[in-house]
Amino acid sequence: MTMAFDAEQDVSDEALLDLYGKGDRMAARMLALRFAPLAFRVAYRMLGDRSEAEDLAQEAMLRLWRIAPEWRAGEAKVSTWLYRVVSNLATDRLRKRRGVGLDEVPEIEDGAASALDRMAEEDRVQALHRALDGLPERQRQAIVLRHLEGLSNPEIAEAMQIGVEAVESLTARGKRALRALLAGERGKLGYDDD
Amino acid sequence: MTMTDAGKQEDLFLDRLFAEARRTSPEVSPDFLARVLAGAEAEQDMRLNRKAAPSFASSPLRHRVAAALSGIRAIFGAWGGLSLATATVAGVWIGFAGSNTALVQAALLDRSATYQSATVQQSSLLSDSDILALAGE
Repeated sequence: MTMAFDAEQDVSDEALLDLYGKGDRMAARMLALRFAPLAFRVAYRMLGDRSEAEDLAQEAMLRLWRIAPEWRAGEAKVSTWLYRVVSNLATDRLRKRRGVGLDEVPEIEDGAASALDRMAEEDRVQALHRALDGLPERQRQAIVLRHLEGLSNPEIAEAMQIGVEAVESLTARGKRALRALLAGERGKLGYDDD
Repeated sequence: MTMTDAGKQEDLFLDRLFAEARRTSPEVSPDFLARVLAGAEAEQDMRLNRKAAPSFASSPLRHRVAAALSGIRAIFGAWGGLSLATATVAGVWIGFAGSNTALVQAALLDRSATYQSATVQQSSLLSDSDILALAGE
């Protein structure tokens, strides 16, 4: 069984999509296992809400199933395509969220200290997510893809469909804003010994 | 501490937060994975079912209807002068009107009397000129 599983790991994404399009159930399973965690992770990092992230990731995966039979080999990496779909869907949701209920968005800039005061030391990641909430959507998208997902700038450029210079600008401005949002919080977050 | 030092400290702090966030990747729930897989299989089934369902124009049924019409044509003199193309157009029309119409049933069962009655009934819906127009004649 292990050997078979290892062998399946060697099958390329494109080959799996092709098999999926022909009705192969195992390919469906392998693709789900391979890409659903990525879709969920990016969605969660963008939205900071588990339920909403699952919903969005499911929507993105449905788009993958629908496009699978027409997938053109060599045009784009499946992961890059998924990064684009998930992060764009998440950006749309963030915009709607801010447009509909401004009061529900954590006000990091005005109340960073009070918000972060509530954070225990082990909640540093949550503190980062709350700070990310204070960024404009495109900056947040670039920061998540660059610093949390570890994509290169050209990969981000492809995912966001912008130039590499624009990516550099977005990540630089995003980091500057995060530094400002988290300014003075190092001690509270257990990083005071640097 | 200079401003540059402070800036470096903030950068370091931010980098460590990023690293920690990368390490604490959120786990996917089995329920979520099950829903994704169910969606994948449902989409597969839908696509394969669409492929499996033959269209009337390319199905053997159409040819059977055309053959039946051809046989029936001999019974009715008025149909005698019509070309095979017209019979084909009639077949297309039958497909357009729905494969479960009385006309198709009559043609398949080759019941002349029923067919005649059904023809009268259907002719009010689509005239001969309409049929010819459909054929581009």
